[in-house]
Amino acid sequence: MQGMTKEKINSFHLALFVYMCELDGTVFSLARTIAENVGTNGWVAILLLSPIALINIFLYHILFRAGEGRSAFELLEGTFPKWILSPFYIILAAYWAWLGAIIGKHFLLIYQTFAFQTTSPTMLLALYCLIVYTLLIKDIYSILKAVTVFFILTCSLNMLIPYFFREWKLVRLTSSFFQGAENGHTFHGWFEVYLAFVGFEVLLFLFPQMDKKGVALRGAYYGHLMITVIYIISVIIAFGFFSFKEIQSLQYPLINTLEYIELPFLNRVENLIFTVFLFANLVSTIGYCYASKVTLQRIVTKAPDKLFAILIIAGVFVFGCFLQILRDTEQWLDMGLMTEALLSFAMPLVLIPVALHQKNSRKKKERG
Amino acid sequence: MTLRKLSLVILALALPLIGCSDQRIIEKLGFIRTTAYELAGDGEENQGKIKVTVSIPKTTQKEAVQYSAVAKTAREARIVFDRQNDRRLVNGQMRQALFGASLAREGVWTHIDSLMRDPSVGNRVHFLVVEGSAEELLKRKYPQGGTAGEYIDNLIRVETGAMNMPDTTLYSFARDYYDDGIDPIAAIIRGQPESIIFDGIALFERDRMTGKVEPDDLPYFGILYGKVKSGDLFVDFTGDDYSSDVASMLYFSSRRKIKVRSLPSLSRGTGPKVTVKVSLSGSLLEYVGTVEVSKRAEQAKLEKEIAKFVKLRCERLIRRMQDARADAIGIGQYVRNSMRYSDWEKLDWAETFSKAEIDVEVGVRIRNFGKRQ
Repeated sequence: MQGMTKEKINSFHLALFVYMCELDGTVFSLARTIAENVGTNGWVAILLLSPIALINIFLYHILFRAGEGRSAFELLEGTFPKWILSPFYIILAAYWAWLGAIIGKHFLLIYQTFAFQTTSPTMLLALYCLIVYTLLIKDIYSILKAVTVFFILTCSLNMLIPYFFREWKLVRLTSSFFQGAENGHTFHGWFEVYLAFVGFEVLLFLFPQMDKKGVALRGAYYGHLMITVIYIISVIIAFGFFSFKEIQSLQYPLINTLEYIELPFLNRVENLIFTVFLFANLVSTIGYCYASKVTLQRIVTKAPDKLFAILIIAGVFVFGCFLQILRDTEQWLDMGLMTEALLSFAMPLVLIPVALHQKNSRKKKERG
Repeated sequence: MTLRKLSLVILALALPLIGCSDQRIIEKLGFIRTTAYELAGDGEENQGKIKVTVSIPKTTQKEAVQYSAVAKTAREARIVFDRQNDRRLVNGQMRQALFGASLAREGVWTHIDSLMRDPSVGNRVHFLVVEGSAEELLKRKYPQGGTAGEYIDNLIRVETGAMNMPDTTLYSFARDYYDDGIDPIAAIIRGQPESIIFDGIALFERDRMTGKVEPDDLPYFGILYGKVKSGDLFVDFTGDDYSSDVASMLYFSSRRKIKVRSLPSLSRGTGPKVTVKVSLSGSLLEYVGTVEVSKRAEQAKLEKEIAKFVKLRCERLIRRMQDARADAIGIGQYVRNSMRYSDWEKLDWAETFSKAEIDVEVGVRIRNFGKRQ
């Protein structure tokens, strides 16, 4: 299957993958989340929180070195018997499929506030699942190539930034920092802002396809820094384009900024532009579905690749069908991403000692 | 391979289905271009109600269908309109929201809120105040051609563009409404027998209209509001203080700076001291008076005279805004940014603004004197 090609993931593709995985539905409300939880000049919070994710990526780098590029599964199975691991695998696989479903459904429900209001959300979800399926049955290299195309589409939106300069005023940013947060500063509030970064941890499952030295991992840092810059720019634009208290009142400030764009021959282009964000959410869903797939494949090794894909997509569809209103998806997304953020730290922290232990015992064997 | 084929078949089947359930056929839709909100008038039955008028251009773009109804909100009125119209009404192409001046004096936020909540309404819809009856204004035919809605659109675009005035839109209104350091504004239009005239700027305290910038004051408002890129200034010197009678400065550009000299004090109850520094430069293309504009020294004298005049007019305009408790030029934003956040939060800015000491410093430079010396 995947091992048959000699191709290796390079850092360029990994950078784009990390960028696209981090970019999901949270970006629409990011400026509001920051205004509510951090307060005035909240864009600084992104600068403070981004290094935490950077440290997290660094942990994966250490893990790669310690495990000499072996996958998480090989490491785990080297120490623990499979019957202990299997239940964990099933829980994780189901969890990731569920998270992918929420990200997708959340986006679709937001999309439906603006377009296709009367279309059945289940139908849209079915189409969404179909696209995810067509990518999921491919090997990781093909997925990454598709991600590159999606990235170009999504990233081209940044060319719109100069459009907002005319109405943007520095004075609206105010001179105070971190004031006016709605519920004061809470751990929960800041954590909610951090959720915008969740998504890069999927790179753990790309270890086997990387070069032995892990040079490709450098791309993860670049991808993360790139999304940090984009987040900061988008929040600074929102803070100078709207007034601070207005941002707190807007459900999705990013969409409101897009609404302002008017071309001489066309207005209300946000409905067109908005569709581009589909790809960003699609990649996040694919990332988690891929994680889910490789996890399931460790339990049942002999089944065909497509069967897993069908199984997971069916799961995504069923999970997605349960969520019908935006209030619910928002709450579940928050909860899902928070769990994922913790998991993202927990995975390398558990695996590094395992990897080191195996490395030491192997060295001992070689010596003795 | 079979799976791929199957998925393609499903895709092919599913795609047209989406269109079926959510189709919008352009011939079957009525695009509302203008929605007008006015007071419903006196009487028990009109308590807490407004008169809503919508104008829907016909496909020829020369005429428009118009409906009016008295209702609690525009949405409620829409139901009545829908019952009369042969096409389904949609808000997607709305360009203007007109508010009667008397309704604007009572407060407009609830209506703006529901307009902004509607995803089909864009935030670039013009927000205008109408003096006189909005219903009449929309109904009349104008020699300028097209429907009233189209006429208003073009008028506002040209006028605000020339003055470099802000386009007053739902976006700008909501932005300044929520900003505690500035108050929103709206362009005012008034119907005349043969035309619609741009008649100044409405000043708001929060969402209530409390005052007006007269049309004569518009260039000065533009200067105080922000950067003017290309404006026209007609200076009509009156009184013995000036040695000139009339001067016209064209294509002038201006910059403004706001300096907070002292902060408001809660304990002493004093307002802040603020200086607005304005610099103007333009071409002097009309002059009547005793100053010999061909001489260098005299040119400087003329610049000083214009500056003095502009300063007085600007200061008078600011007094008027203070009386209306409407900080339309955003002095509060600068006061806020030079204070501690907690102190600012305790401040009642509308009250403080009305007591503030604001003076204007004007520097004028005449770029050229046209073709004559």
